[in-house]
Amino acid sequence: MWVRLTTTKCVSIGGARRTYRPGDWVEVGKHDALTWLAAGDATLPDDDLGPLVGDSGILVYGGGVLPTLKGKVPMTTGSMTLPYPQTLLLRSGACIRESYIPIGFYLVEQWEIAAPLYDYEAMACTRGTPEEQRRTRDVIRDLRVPMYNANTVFVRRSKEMQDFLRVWQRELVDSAETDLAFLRALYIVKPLICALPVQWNAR
Amino acid sequence: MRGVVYVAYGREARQEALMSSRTVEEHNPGLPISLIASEPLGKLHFIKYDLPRERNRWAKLNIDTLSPYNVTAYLDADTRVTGRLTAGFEMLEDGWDMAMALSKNQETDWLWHCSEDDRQMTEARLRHKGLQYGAGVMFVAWGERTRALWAAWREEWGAFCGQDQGAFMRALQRVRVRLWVLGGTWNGGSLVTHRYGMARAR
Repeated sequence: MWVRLTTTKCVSIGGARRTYRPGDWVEVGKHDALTWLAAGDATLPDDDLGPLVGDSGILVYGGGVLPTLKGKVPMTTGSMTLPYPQTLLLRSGACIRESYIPIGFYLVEQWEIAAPLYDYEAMACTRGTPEEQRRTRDVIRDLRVPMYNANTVFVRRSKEMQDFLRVWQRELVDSAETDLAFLRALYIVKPLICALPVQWNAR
Repeated sequence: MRGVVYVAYGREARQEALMSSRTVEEHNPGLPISLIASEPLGKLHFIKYDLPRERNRWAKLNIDTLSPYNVTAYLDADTRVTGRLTAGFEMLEDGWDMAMALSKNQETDWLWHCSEDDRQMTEARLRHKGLQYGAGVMFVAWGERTRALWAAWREEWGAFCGQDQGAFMRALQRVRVRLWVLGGTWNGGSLVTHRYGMARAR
């Protein structure tokens, strides 16, 4: 796929190595392109995000505030469901770094679910009311664990993950803390989750 | 059966492991403790595994076959335990394959201690700078997935034979396990303190 470099790269094409400068367009494999895009070493043309994500798409729930993206990604609004084989569940108004979206879709081809951590230091024991902490401790056994940002969750569509959504929604009942409810649901279902670095969160 | 496993080769590592094991005993009475080493040490249950000191990491990469406990807490020799480890074992018994804390080194410090080749290979394989876990404190339930992960870890480590964290990240991308992420309290924090580097030869 074609990317536009923002840094100098030495690229082998057809066995010949050549140096490309910032601003140059170069066609490389999807693997290299995704790595460079994530690192900020390259950009895509505005309309080139689509082919990266295949049948994947974004479901915006909890309102109608859609993310502003440069690339074209299938997007729909509604209640929390999995309309695509790989779905980014995005709470209305939440943000995610756009360059990571195709990588998230790639990751949930392998994992069942992927979500960025909220913070490396903030632990579950610092969130919620005493009652919600007790409720959470009863499920996850120890609150000295990091929180996920439950507003941006990549999910692979499967029966198991449909069940996960049901458990998450059940845990959200009478819960003021979405992220604690998410932790409880994770602990109950125990999916193959890929925890992602906090830099995935748009700040 | 629950138990703690140490790996210690060399005078400093053995001394550290002995001190660490005493802190486990103090706060977790009755919890079995084993030592993987070339020679026995104190009253610790001894698992003989001959290795030259510089290859000691290989023992950690083989605890899937060496640990006598089906739910194992691996602790680096230079850790000190200040409380009960019960919750870590319970998480495994609840169905998680592993529980481990993140490394303090993320983003700009990501895999700083690994070679440039190791870093590059890891980033390329993961397609991003994935989370770096701290492999000095690990709770593991041995089963098909975790044994496959350890086999992949050995293979990945063989690429550079250096530090093991990049290799762990690559192995985890190949063999996915149900991993519950712990907070820093559990490795380098208030529950398990970590005297990083104290087990190395000085």
